[in-house]
Parts: sequence; structure tokens; C-alpha cells
Amino acid sequence: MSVSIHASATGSSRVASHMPYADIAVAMTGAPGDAAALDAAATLARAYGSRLDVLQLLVMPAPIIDAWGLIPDAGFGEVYADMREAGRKSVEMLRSRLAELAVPGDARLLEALCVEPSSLAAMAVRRNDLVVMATPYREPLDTSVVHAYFAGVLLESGRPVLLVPSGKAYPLPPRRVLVAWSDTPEAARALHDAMPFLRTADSVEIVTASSTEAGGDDDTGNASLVEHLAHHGVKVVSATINPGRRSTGMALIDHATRIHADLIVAGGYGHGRFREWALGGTTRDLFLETAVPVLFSH
Amino acid sequence: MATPVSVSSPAPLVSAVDGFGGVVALLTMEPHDGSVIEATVAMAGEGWPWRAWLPLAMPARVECPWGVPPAQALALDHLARRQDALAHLAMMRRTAARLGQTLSCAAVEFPERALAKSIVARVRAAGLVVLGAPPERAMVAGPRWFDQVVSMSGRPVLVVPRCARIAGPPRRILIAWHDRPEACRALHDALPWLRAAAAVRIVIAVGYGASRAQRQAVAGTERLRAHLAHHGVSTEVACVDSQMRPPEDILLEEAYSMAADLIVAGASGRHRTLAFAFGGTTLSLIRRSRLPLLLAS
Repeated sequence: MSVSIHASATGSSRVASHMPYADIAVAMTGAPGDAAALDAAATLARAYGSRLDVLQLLVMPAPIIDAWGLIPDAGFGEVYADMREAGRKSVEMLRSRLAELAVPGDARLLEALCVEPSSLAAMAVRRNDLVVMATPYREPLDTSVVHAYFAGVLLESGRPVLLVPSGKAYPLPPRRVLVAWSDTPEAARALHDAMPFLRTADSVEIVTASSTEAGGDDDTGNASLVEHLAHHGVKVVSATINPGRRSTGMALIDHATRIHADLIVAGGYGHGRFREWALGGTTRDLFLETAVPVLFSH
Repeated sequence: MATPVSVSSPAPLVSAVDGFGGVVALLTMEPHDGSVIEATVAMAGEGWPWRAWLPLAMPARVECPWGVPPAQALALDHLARRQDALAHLAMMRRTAARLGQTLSCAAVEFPERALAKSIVARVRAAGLVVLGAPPERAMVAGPRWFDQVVSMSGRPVLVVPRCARIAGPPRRILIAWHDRPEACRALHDALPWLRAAAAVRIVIAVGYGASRAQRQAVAGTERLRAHLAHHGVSTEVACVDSQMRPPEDILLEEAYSMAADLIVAGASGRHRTLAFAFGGTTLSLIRRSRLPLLLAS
């Protein structure tokens, strides 16, 4: 099975019949890495002929009631108006950026007044095929805000999230893909959600972390997986890594660096986000430390 | 700011392979398997590879009659099970031959203790899993791995009802939409069929005193239709007032009124306790639907 490349009519609204990612959402978290996410999404949109949906979240504070509980603070109307104005300006800037990038799509402002912001983002994103977000820089405030966004979108939207590192260069669509296989439903969903990337990649390696074996031998457990992917026209190499004293996430990142992978595919939050954030886990390690894009699915 | 380096050609990359890419039918040594095979052949469509597995539970210990050593009793038991399986598969091959297909089917042996887990692990590689609906009486009377495959495999599952004869791929599809991740996954998993369908209707059952999820679903229908239009699927959306009736009643009524061939729904619920693996709506749909169901968890 080969990949066929169809010539596209630029600007036409006709849709190719097998478009894998027809609508890509970009979640603007307010962190400095957002521009990288938009650029990455634009590259993918050009490659797959998709439309972009840029979501700018506006977190509005709940109205403060004064001590007597009688009259709401009159000044709050102005605060909201100012915030909405600022939100409108940022949406205009995003729209002009989209026009610069020459990619079809739109930018929208989501007002989170009484709704939890990440739930609002998750709800908006269910109408898309893929969400693109950028990793935070190391400032603690950035990290917690972006992580809350990321976890909410990943767990509640049912859509795969492509996390792109900011400040690094990587080819998109990826040429070498590393799939982290952990025999969980999340990993199965991630693998199938990443299928468009796998089909167009030059090489795909499936890796299982096991504390007993190390080496490049093909696992019998992965044999059916390798065979199934061969049906899709994806040539897969299977390997096992032994994390040793490192965590699984760090072992995956090291392995990805070693094989020069351009994308890591992994299931996200198999154990629950609060437990992972408190105790450490693969998703958290990948979220914080990755140098290449990671596709998560839950 | 480093920008990602694009190595693709300016034209959009489109894959020539569409569809589920690997359909696996799980058989249960019951007569219903014939319908499951017919459904797999009909629904899988042209050019989509499919195969059938008959999971065999091999016990580690059996009762042995007086005078028979345990090892021999075990060997005889295993042999008997294998022979039953082969006979059943031979019957299934004749069914498939009647449909003009060659059956690629294997009996796969698993230790009885780890049956469900092993089946689920094998099935995770598939694109779509086809199962027969369990018998009427109770979920636990049916195959013990049914609940686990639907909720823990991470793959979409097509449940073939007991009384239906399925002749071809679905042409009229009903999508039960609720603003939850499972429904979203089910809708996107069903895209290969949606693209080829003649009529697709999305139904949102709105109750009196609608919950937040339902209100959000109603508000987002225009965007949903636009998104599906980008995939080449034209849909109509119906928000139906459920008038305090359970949502599965609404869904089944809508399905029959539009003469649907397939219902697409998210499977809600938690896996932890097998008997209560699913929420009420999912369970009722599995029990009552006379149409095939595509469930995603």
C-alpha cells in the first residue's frame, strides 16, 4: 500500500475523500510557547490539507459580591468589557497570523465565566480531529497553567493531543516515529490515532519498557501488532528497552534521542492525572522533558 | 523562535488506505457465530482485511475420574476442546464459503485464568472488533470477556444483535451524541462508514431540566455539522425532547423511524466491576437493539 499524493486546489472548498486530519485545533494557553504550536499546526495543515481552529481562552473572574451581599460591584462590568476587548484584539492578531501563514482556518475566543477553563476547551475541541499544544517553558506558573489545560483537554475531549516542544526544530510530518507500547487501552488508542503519521513516516519503531529484558529482539506479544501494522503498509521494528534506574518516561526520551525519532506516540494518563502529577509518571515526564513532539491519546 | 522544518511536498498528503484496517471477529462457539461472520463480511466491505478468532479457554486443572491420572485427564480435556473448536470452525468455513468468502479463522488458546486479559491484549492491535451480542438472560451468562473487550480494549466494537441478518455495509446511520469523550471517539471511529453512507443523523436526547452536557451538545451542533462536512459527511442533527423517558428509548425510536442500519454510540461506564461494566444506556442498547451497534469507550 502506498501513499498517494493528490494535487490540491489551493483555496478551494472541495475536500479530499480520505483526509486524515480535516480539522486541527490549536489551544492557545497564554504561555510563551503558543507561537510554536501555531507554526507546527500550520505545517501540518499544509501537509494534510486541513483547516485550523485556533482557540483563545479568556478566563473571566467570577463577580465579587461585596460584604453585604446586596449590590454587585458596579466596576465589574468594565473589567469584563476590558477583558473582552483584549480577547478580541488577540483573536484579530491570531486571524492575521493565520492569513500570513496562508492556511485556511479561524480563530475563536472562548469565554470561561462560570465554566472550568479546561472543560470549556475540551468541549470546543471535540469537533476536531487533533489538538496541538506547546510545552511550557520552565517557569512554574506557566507549567501549572499549561498542564491543567493539557490534562483537561486530553482526558475530557477524547481527541489526541500533539504536544510540541517550543524552541526546538523538528520535521513535520515526522520521518521517524517511536511508539511507546504499554498494552493499555490508552496506548491502543494512541497508536490508531497516530496512524496518518505512521503511514507517511520512513521508519516506525515500537518500544515496550520491561524491567526484565533489554535488547532489540522481537517480543511475541508485539508480533500481532507488527503484523497488523504491516497490513496498513507500515514497516515496523519492535524493540524492548530496560529503563533500569530511570523512570519509563526518561528512558523513552533517551531512546528517542538515540534513534533520532521525530515523534513519540504514547498513551496518556493511564493511571490518573493527580496521582501522576504527585508521584511522577510517564506522561508527566514526557510532558516536562521531551525534546520532540509527542502525540498523546487517552 | 525555531519553526518546525517542513519536509513534505506542498500538496496535501493523503493516504490511499481508508477504512478500519484490520477487522477482527471474535467467535463464541455458538450458532450466533454465523451471523457474526456474515456481519463481518458485509460490514467490512471491499478490500479491508478481516479475520476471525475463536478464543479457547484451556483450564489448568480438570476433574479426573477414578483411575485416570490427572495429566491424562487434562490432555483429554484439551483435546476434546480443540476438536469441538475445529468442528465449529469447519461449520463457519462452510458459512463463509456460501457467502463467497474464504474464512481466515484460527482457534486461539489461552489459559482459562487469564482468558479475558489475553483476548483484550491480542485485540488491541485491531482496527475494529466484531462481537455477537451476549444472550438475553444476563451479561455474565454470555462470554466472560465481552465486557472487557468493549471497555478495556481501546478499540471500537461492533456488536451484532442476535436476530438481525446484515447484508451490506451500513447506508443509514444514527449517531447518539452526548458531549462526552466516548461519544466523540465513537463518531470519529465510525468515519469510514459515515463517508460512504447515504443518510447520517445525529440525535441528542435532551431531557427536561437538561444537564450541562446536554446543553453544551445542543449549542455545538452547527460546528459539529461543519466538522463532519469537512470530512465529506453531510448530516442532519435532531435534538429530541426525551420527556423524562430514558435516552435509549429515544435512540431506538429514532433509529427505527429513520430505518437506520447502524447505531453509533459511546460506551459509558467503568470496567472495574464486570457485572456493572456499563452505564444504563449502554447496557439497554446492547440488550434491546435489533440493529448493529458501534461502541467506543
